[in-house]
Amino acid sequence: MLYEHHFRAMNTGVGVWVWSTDPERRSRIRAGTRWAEDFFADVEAQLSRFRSTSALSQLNRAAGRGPQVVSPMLWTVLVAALDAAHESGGIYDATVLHSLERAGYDRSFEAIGASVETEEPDVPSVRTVGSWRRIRMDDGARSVDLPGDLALDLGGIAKGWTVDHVALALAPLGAVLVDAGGDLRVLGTVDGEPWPIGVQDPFKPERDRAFVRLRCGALATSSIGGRRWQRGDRTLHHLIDPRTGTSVDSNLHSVTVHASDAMTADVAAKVVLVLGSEAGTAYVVQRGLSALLTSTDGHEIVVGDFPHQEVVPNASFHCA
Amino acid sequence: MRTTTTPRSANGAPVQRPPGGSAASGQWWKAWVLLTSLGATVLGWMALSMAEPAVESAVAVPAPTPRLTQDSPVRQVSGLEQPRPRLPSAGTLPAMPQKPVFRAPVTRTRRS
Repeated sequence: MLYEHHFRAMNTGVGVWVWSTDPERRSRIRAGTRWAEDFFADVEAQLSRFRSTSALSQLNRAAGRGPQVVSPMLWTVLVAALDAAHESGGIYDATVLHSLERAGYDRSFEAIGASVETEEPDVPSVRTVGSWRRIRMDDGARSVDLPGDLALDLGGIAKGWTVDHVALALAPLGAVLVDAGGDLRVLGTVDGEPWPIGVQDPFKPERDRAFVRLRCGALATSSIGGRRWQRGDRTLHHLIDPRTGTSVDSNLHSVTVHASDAMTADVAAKVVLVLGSEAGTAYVVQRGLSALLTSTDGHEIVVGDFPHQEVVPNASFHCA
Repeated sequence: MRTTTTPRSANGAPVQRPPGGSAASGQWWKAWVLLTSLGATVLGWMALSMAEPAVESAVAVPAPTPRLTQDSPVRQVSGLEQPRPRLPSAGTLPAMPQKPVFRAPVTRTRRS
């Protein structure tokens, strides 16, 4: 039986699907999907920058005041974010929060509303590339020393981490698909059948432009077409290039990455969007990933063995 | 008046008794009838044995596991980890999990 549970968390729609042929697991699966909703809520309560009481907001407010002991969850995701910054040469950067807020993204998009126009004057941008290296982490004390001029945003990577965590936790109950706003992870097949996944058309969001049959792994999409607003005569969006301190201005409009896990896919999609098609393609190839890129003029670029029809696990990651 | 019974052949002719037969040897025809009947029984039993499997063979052949449906998803359950599914009695078949037929994407990856 295919069990479904849908709810809202992290300012997006979340879906959890579990396929099992064992009717005796019914109550356990239902309990598991309810736990998934609670877990998403817990992560949001701890890691959302839009919650003033979250552990992340408390850490951001304590920037410049010396080492702060943080929760295990915040520690885990922050370590992953710093690893991603190191691995991407600083293109992925969790310290861009002040740049985001300067650009106008200081509330959740649910609160702002789509395509907001503001008459506020433009403010100077601040480059943050490499700033992540100034964060001091003490493994023994589980403490973080955040410099006073920095603030963290763990939005995307926390979402990917949560998707992976929930999928792995539910996997013993059956085949699992977890989707949070387009960051999705698959573990197992439906009686041998892969999960059919659509890839949204970046220019006509009501329809899909590709169809993927996913046996394992994860997909994530980043696009400049979603959360965007006007500031003066400039169109801004939520993806910040740490090299400029302002909205990404590459030749790419949308990037969908297939990776072994949702956190890797989420980070890679952002990095490729920032880098543009040429350097972004090299980034994908070097890491054994695959991707579907759409340029700002509408051209599609397939990188690696991105599965338009069926995912064939490649050697870069294990498909158990 | 004393009546005697003379053994006769199938065509009604009196059966010739062996000469000098005693009272015991006079019963030879009964033994012949018994042996003939026994032989016919044995031959018939052998003929039936060739037509049917031996009782021992029938026991040795494992009974096939009844299949509830043609594509029962129970086949995915590992026999080492899960108990063998119990066979429900007629009329109380539980609803078997149906493998979904995906005619459209379950979900989509999208901009966030």
